[in-house]
Amino acid sequence: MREFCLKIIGFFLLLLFLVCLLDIIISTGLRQTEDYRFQSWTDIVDSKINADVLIMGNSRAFSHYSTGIIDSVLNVNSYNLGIGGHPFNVQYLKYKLYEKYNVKPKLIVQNIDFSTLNSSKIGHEREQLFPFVFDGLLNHYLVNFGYNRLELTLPLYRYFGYQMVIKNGMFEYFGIKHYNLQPSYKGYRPEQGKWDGSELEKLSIIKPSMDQTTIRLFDEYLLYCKKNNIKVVFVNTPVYYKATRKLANKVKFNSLIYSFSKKYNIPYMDYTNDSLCYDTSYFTVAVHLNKKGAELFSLKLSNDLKKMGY
Amino acid sequence: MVFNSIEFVVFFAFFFLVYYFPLKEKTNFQNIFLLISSYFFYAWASWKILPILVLTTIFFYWLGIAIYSATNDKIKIRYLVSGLVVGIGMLLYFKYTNFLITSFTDLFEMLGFQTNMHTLKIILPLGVSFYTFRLLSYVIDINRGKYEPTRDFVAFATYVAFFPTILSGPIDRPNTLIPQLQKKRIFDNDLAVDGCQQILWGLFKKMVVADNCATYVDQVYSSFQSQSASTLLLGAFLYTFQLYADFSGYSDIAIGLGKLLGFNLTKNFNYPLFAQNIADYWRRWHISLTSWLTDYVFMPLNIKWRNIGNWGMIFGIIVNFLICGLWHGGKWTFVLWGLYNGLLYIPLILTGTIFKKNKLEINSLGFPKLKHFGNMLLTFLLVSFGQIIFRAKSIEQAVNYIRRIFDMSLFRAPLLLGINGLFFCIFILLFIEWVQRTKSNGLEIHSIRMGAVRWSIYLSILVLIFFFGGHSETFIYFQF
Repeated sequence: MREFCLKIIGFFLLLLFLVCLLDIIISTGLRQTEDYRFQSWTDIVDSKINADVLIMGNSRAFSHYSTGIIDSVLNVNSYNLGIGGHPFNVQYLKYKLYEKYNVKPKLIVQNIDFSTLNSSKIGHEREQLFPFVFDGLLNHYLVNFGYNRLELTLPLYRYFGYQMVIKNGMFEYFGIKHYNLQPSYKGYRPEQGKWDGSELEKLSIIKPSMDQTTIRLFDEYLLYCKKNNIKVVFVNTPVYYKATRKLANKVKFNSLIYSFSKKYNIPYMDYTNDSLCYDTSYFTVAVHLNKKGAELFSLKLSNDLKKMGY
Repeated sequence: MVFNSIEFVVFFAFFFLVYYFPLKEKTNFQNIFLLISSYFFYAWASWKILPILVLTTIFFYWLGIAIYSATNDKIKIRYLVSGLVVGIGMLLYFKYTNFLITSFTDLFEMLGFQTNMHTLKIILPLGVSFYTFRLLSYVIDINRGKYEPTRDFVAFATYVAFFPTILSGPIDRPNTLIPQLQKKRIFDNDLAVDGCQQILWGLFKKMVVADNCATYVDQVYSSFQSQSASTLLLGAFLYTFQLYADFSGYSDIAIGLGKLLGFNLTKNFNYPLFAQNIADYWRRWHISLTSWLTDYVFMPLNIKWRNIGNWGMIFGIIVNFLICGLWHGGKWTFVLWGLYNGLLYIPLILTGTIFKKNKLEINSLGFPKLKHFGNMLLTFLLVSFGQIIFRAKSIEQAVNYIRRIFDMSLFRAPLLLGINGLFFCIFILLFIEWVQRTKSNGLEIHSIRMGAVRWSIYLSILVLIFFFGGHSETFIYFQF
């Protein structure tokens, strides 16, 4: 019995060693990829950003705000922290991690839209955080974002079932293949493709969600920015006008944003009525500008910010 | 609590330590602890179903003694009948009430009558098909004089509720498990190592082969109307692998856990993918169920109808497989599946080869000779067609699925949906099981003396589980 138990313990210790080794290999490999899912997180923890201007928001942030154009017009170093498919509570987590490893920005361009004040766990592309879960800050918060304790404690456990991610990480680590899946330029990743209005046709109304916890978090964040002399601007990017017409609770949502704007003296730049909104040649779908549209918008935004003295 | 979950690992680790350390060689205390743990394990799914298990256990415990103590045959039979009524009645109620209601409703509607019958909200107690058969075999065998009833209630209750096997078998007979429960159990290192090997092999089959097959099969079945014939055929084949890997994987884990606790449980699968014909297949598949049905259904019918020669055997086989189908659940697809398997026996019965065990001839490379390989393929094909019926939601779906296979698109390449790794894993499964076909499980490797080599093999299996492990699916046989 004793011999059996010792063998089992010995085997599991060896297994633990191998598991830790594999975890390091896969996580390191994924950080080395130019896969958009991991790239911005890697840039954050490697302290490669240290931006003057940060863009925060969801997929409309990373696909609409061209960091190249903003840099050249405003003569700054900008970075786009947009995180697809997630509202402010997740965006704020990314910002907190950014601050842990990088200098505070001078200006935050906060994308505002109908989903900003919603609340969600990290469900979409949750593998994006796999290489980083053992970071102290993320490890502390991720349990509130849909990651279970086992994923945050046991090495390799979180990768189980993600065969492509495992393969990509290992291939990258051993130099077998380099992955550059939709690489971004300082977080900016424009959408390619032609107009597709089918989703808009199916939609009857778009209801902005306003979660109270997220609203409190948003307030806390704006207060923090004010205390730390970080300027903030709210930007509502162009959206195809028919989608804007389907927005319910528009007045309630806008009045909430305006109340924050007034409270913290934050300019609210609303482009939802801009000329871009009326031309489908600038959009892939109703709520996403294509590359042409994004660059035009970025130019307009940068010039407007320049006029405002930023 | 499924075996491949962290909760079970924690539960079993704790159980194992208490079982073998403070309770070491104290049989009575071990049994009490085993019983409490088994009830805890069972109640983990839903504590509401536990009383049914406990009450039926108490009833059949008393019934076994009553049958044995009965002074004449008439009273014995009355007791036995009451046991059969309770056992079969329980199965009928939990598994077939809604089936009967919907069948009668459909029949009346076909005849032009409208009914107001509604199905009932009945919770199916987990493992009821398995533990009921355990209880029935207990009282039947006591009545037949095969053995005496046990007066040790704890041993009996543990036999019924034994946690490694309560949910999906094997269906151990009383004379295999109860004596082991009553005997002193000393830790056996070789048996424990064997158990660990079998558990690991079971996990590989379940998590790598079964769960990955399930992803593909579910997609094919949910959209079969728009799939090519070759894709449908591949889906059918992969379902056969899925069912085998899932169920035999579970059995391996259950038997392995039993070995860790010092028990030798009934072997439930004997490499059915290498069967030479349908009779051979059923001698190798879900052995504990098929032997139960053989002893309590087929043999009595065969004896009763022996005067009508082969036709008596044919009717006996068909009834046997109809019951086998119904045991899986109240659906006409299960009935049809049972009938299909029964009918496949007819050529074997008429040619007198039903009981003939063909010795597998191996060529110089260690693989089966062409004739035997051909038999295996044919058997696999026949079984796979049957599994289409088994898997289908309705007879109509099964018929449509099979009909669509006979189409010119059979010669088109099937949709693979990224399952190249799965083919590799199925190859590993078949290769290892072929090489190990005379052993109790695919990972029985005592003959390899070097510990480093054995550990490398275990780690390789774990690596395969990690790399190829599919998204977790419930064990298929839990639903029965």
